[in-house]
Amino acid sequence: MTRSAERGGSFRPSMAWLHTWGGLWAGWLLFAIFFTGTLGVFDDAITRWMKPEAEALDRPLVEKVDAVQAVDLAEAYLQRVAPASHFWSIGLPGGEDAALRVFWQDANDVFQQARLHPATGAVLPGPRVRETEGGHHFVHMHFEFHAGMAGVWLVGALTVAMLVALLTGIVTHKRIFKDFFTFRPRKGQRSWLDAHNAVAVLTLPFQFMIAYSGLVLFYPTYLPAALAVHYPAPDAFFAELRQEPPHREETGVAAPLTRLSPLLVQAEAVLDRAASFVVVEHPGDSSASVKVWGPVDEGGDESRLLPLEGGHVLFDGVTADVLHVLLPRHASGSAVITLGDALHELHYAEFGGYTVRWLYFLSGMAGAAMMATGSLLFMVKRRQKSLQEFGWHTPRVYRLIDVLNVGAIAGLMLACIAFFWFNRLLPVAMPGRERGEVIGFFLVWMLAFAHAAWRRPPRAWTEQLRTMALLCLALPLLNAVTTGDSVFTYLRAGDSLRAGVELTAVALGLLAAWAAMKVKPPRSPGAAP
Amino acid sequence: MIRGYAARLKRGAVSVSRSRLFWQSLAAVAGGYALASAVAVFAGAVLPLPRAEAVLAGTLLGLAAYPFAIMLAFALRDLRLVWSGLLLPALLLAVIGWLLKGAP
Repeated sequence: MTRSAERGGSFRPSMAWLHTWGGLWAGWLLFAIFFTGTLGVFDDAITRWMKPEAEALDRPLVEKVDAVQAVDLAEAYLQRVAPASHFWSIGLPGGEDAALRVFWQDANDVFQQARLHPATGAVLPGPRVRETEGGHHFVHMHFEFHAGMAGVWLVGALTVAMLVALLTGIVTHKRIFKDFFTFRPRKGQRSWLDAHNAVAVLTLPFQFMIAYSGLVLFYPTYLPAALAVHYPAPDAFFAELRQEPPHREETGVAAPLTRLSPLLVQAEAVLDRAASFVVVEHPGDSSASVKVWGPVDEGGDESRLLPLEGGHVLFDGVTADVLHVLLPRHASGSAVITLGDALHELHYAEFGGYTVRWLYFLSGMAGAAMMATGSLLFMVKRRQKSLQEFGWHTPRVYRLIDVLNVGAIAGLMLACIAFFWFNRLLPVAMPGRERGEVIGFFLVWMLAFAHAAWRRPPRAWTEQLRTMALLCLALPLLNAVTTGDSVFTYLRAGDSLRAGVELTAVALGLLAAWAAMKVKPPRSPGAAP
Repeated sequence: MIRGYAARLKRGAVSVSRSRLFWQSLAAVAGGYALASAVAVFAGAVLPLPRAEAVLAGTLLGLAAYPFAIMLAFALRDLRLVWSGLLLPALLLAVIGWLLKGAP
């Protein structure tokens, strides 16, 4: 037996082995990443639904905002409150908030903020809007599990595992296109395999794109070797890549800050659009700089993959000289930078408007279904005939896998819809409300694992899926009772975002109810998923 | 013998020894990462682009190479071959990339 024969003989089986076991251990958290990321496609709509009092914010405070006057008022306020701060930011009225917003770093380097009247500069009382993470909760679950850098690394490792699972899946799957046209319903294991193959093959290019572009978003973190070898510091790399002047260190030499409003006027002329933010670094220091930002093109129907950034103009904060200009929707002349930017736009679905967002939603759900069917398939196969991979411990490990399957799939979905309920049920004035909603989400998820450990698999599945269906289908009722709003009032007000959230919840509820009916009580081992 | 191994692998029933699985996984994760990093460093040095763009392109390339390196580690049965197959090219690419880093 030669070496080549040996390798030829075991390549496909060893890739199948890697697909099965790598997919199994990574699949549970990957399902969570995919499901929450898919909901996160509509984070703006979800945030809007979760802030039923938002209208109180965007009702205009003055007939016409005078941006020059507003910036003058904000500058005077910041000079009075935080003259020695390292960082100021001024948010001009518009978008979601009609007030003039100021942010600064206080003496302890903690961020503070205030809302000012754009015409008088008077401090406005805090908005009576419920504090909520809104749709950002799902986005944060998606890329860091609310666990900071540790979460980012975990998600990165799982993303590499997903790419390996996709590649080994293709290798394993000999008759990929022939099988794609094959679906054998109600055939137990065979149907689960067909479903797994169909959703995977149909959306394969999307799955590769979304996983790889997700890795690329964090490239300086995940693969810093080239940056570290070729540049003394990451800042120097980014300054050269973007051809921007590098960040200026504080000198400690006092120098008066130039007036901000003339810079605003100059920047708006260069960018050819109204500014959204004025950011000052090191005010009062000789290294001071002022950056005036144009507004981001939110939800534009631009079909090309160009950065959404509204552009910016960077000034020297003492001499008022222009240091750098980035025009809105500027395409870089370099193919490599354009590729990097395009991968970013692709991952965030920042093109093509709602048509593309719905395609992402469907493809993302297909990805989640691919992971769920894969995890189920593992146990369906083994419930028919134990493969004894863990010797004496095999039954216990199988039981553990069953519990993790239920909790990671049904339990995660249940926690997601429960998050919407916490948004309506927690008192509006509750301190730390934002955190309360997220803690509620994790509590429900953990309870789902406990429930799965307590009940036998088919019952655990049906009970959790039924609860999910109930919470989804009753969401409009809860909303009507707590806020008086419904799909009808939203549609009458032309609020398709909020109406869309509720209709999507109902549709997912119907799906969950159907799935719960499909999970039959165990007549024989192997009848249930 | 080999055919039996393949058949058992196919059924998923092969009991891979624990120490072998540990070393193979370590080779895949750490050795693969070393190779991905080395690809990025090397490409950052040799690609005919402005330095910052070469580094970006090299890093994108390295990220794409990582999953393939992991597959390689599990495809070969001989552990010595796995380690040398990942670490020798990694070392070579990293050293060349390092030596060329000052060059324009």
